[in-house]
Amino acid sequence: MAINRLWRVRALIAVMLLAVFQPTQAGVSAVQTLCLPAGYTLGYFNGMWNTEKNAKDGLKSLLAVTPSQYNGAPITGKVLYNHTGCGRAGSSCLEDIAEVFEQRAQELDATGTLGSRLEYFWESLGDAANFTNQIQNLFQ
Amino acid sequence: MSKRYIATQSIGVALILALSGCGGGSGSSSATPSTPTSLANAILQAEATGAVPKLNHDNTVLGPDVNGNGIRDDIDLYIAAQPDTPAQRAALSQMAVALQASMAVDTTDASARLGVSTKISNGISCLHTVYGEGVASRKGDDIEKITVDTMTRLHTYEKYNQAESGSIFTFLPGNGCGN
Repeated sequence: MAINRLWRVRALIAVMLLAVFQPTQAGVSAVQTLCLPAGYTLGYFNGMWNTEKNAKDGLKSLLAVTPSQYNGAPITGKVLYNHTGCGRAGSSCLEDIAEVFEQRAQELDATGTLGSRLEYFWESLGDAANFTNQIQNLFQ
Repeated sequence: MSKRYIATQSIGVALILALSGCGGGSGSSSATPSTPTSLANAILQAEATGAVPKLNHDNTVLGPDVNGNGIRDDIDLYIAAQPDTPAQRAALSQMAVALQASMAVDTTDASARLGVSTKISNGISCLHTVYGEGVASRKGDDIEKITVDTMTRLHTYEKYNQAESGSIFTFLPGNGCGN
C-alpha cells in the first residue's frame, strides 16, 4: 500500500516536471530564434555626459563608416548606454557644468540675458557654435 | 575632460565678447550704430534680426504649443525658417517631437520610456537619411539645444537620460522617417 502510494507520488511528480519542461523547451526555442541572424555586434559605449540622443547619434555615425558585413556575416550595432552620474542625488554632471555656465554668465552679463539661454551652454560643449558665432560677429 | 576644457574655452570667448562690448564705450569713433554695447544687447539684437532664434525661456518644462503638434511653438518657427528641403524640415520636426516627448514622459514608466526612446532612435535615423553624415549630427544637436534651453528643462531632460542609463539601444531597419 505504502509502495503503491509512493509510486503514485513519483508519477505525479514526473507529470508535473514534464509539464514544466515543455514550456521551458518552447521558451528556449523562442530565444534561439531571436538570436538566429548570426553575425557581429558592434557595442558602442558612449562618452561622458552624453545624452541618449548623443549616444545614439555616435553609434549611427560609427555605423556609417563600418562595413555592413564581415566574413560574410552582418554587422549590427548597439548602444550600451551609461549616463554619467556624479554621485549627487537629484542632479547630473551635466547640470553641475550648466550651473558653472550660469554663474560665469552672470559675472559677464549681470542682466541674466546670457545665463537664461542654455542654448549657448550646449554650444560650449560641442563643436558647433553657430549661435555664438552670430553674436561674436556683431562685435567685429 | 576635453568637454570641460572646451567649456572653459567657450566661457573665455564669452569673456572676450563682453570685454569687447565694454571697451567700445570709450572708443566711439570705431563704433557703428549697430555695434552692440554689451553682451546682453548683442544677444537681443541678434534675436531681433533673426540672426539667432528667439526662443521661449519660461519656467515651464514644455513651453507653449498652441497648435498641439508636440513641438514648442518657437521651435516650430525655427524649423520653418531653415533653408532646407521639406523632407529635411520634416526630419527636424520629428526629432523635436521626440525630444519634447522625453521631457513629458513619466520616467518611472519603463514602457512609456521605451516609446520615447524609439522615437529618438527613429528621429536620428531619419536625420542621417535626409542630411547625410557630417550634417545630420549638427542638425540634431541644434534641435536638442533649442529644446533644452533652460535649467528647468535641462533638469527634466536629465531625469529622462538618467532613467535610461543601463539600457541597450539598437536601430530598427529602415530610414526611421515618419515614425
